[in-house]
Amino acid sequence: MTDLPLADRDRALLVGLADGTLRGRRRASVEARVESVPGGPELVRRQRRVAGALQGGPTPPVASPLSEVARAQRPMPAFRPRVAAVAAAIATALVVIAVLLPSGGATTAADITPLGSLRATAPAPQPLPGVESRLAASFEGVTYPNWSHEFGWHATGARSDVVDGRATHTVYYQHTMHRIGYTVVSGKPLAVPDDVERINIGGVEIALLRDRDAAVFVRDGHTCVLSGHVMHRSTLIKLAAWKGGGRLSF
Amino acid sequence: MQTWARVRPHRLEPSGLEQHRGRLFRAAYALTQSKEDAEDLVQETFELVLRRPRFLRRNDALAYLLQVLRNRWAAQVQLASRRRSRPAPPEDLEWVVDERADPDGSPLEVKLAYEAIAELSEPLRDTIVAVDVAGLSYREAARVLRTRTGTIMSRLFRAREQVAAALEGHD
Repeated sequence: MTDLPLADRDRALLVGLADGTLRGRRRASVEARVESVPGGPELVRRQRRVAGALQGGPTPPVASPLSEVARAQRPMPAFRPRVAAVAAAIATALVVIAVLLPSGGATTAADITPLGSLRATAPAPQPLPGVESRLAASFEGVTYPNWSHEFGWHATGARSDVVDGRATHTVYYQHTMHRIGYTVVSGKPLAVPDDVERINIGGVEIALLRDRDAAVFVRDGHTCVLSGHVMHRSTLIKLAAWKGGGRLSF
Repeated sequence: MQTWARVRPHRLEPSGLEQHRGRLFRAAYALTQSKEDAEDLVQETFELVLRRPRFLRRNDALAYLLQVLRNRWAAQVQLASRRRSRPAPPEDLEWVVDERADPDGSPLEVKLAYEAIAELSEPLRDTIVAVDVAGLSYREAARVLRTRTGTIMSRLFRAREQVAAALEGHD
């Protein structure tokens, strides 16, 4: 570093000279002074070296388009143009119909998984004051976890649906380009297909629906379905089994 | 005679934010020194901004985003002591040189410069991140950091001097 005694004003002038923001006579004057001082040109060179290096940097990873972030957050407005409202109602009905279409038998956990990809229709619940591991939201007595501190997954929205007569409530979480839905289903636990992989983590039995990127488990007597887009299946397992230091009941 | 046109606030649209992602990521990385934390910080910044309509009086979307990002980072730093520490995973980042600005530069030098930024005091670090990493003008940086333009330039000089010393230590 320089040993030259420099006042703040000198530093500002040198920065302006190095960056090219000094113009005209002032620039010429400062250049002349810099040339006349031992080590002066070196000071300017060092400034330009660092400024030039920092024009480069790390390449950001690919992330989800901002339109998806905006869509996931924005609740549906109360008033919309008639055409858009009708179109949206039809689209919603189609999704509901698709979810409700019987699969030839009773509703299973697999029927809930599409909810993890739907659009949020309510704002994200906030963290529960004083309880870092929980959100200020619950459904049928099942509280929603706050994963933001531990895992970096943040709540971004919520929605409620009815699937085959069963009320459901989903909270959506996002982490970088990934988004998942945490759906709690009312009533007794849903059936899970027999031919799925099951693992037990800390006493929590989790059924993994491979083809649907979903983890199914039971909390407080209700089926919970964690579904959506993640990089690794282990993420779903880790999140599903998290007990928040004992603050989340199972 | 001067006439003053009233500046009408304009809405910050999602479509106008994506162009700033690269700069914001670099600024976030300079602050966090972690790819994962930088990604999260940028995404949280966008989520915060998109949560409700934003209106700006000046054409300074990047400055506004950097301010949100800095505030978010400051809040996280306060919570940092409550988090358990985790071993940092190896970083798989690609480092690029801006050949127009630094024709003799190397990716290694760029990486070393970012590492040196982490060693700076907070005022110097914030200044060099705002101007050299994020690309704000001195005036925009002064607004974001709530100080005078002259102070920005003086701090910038000192910050660059320290980073230069670190680079020369590896020459």
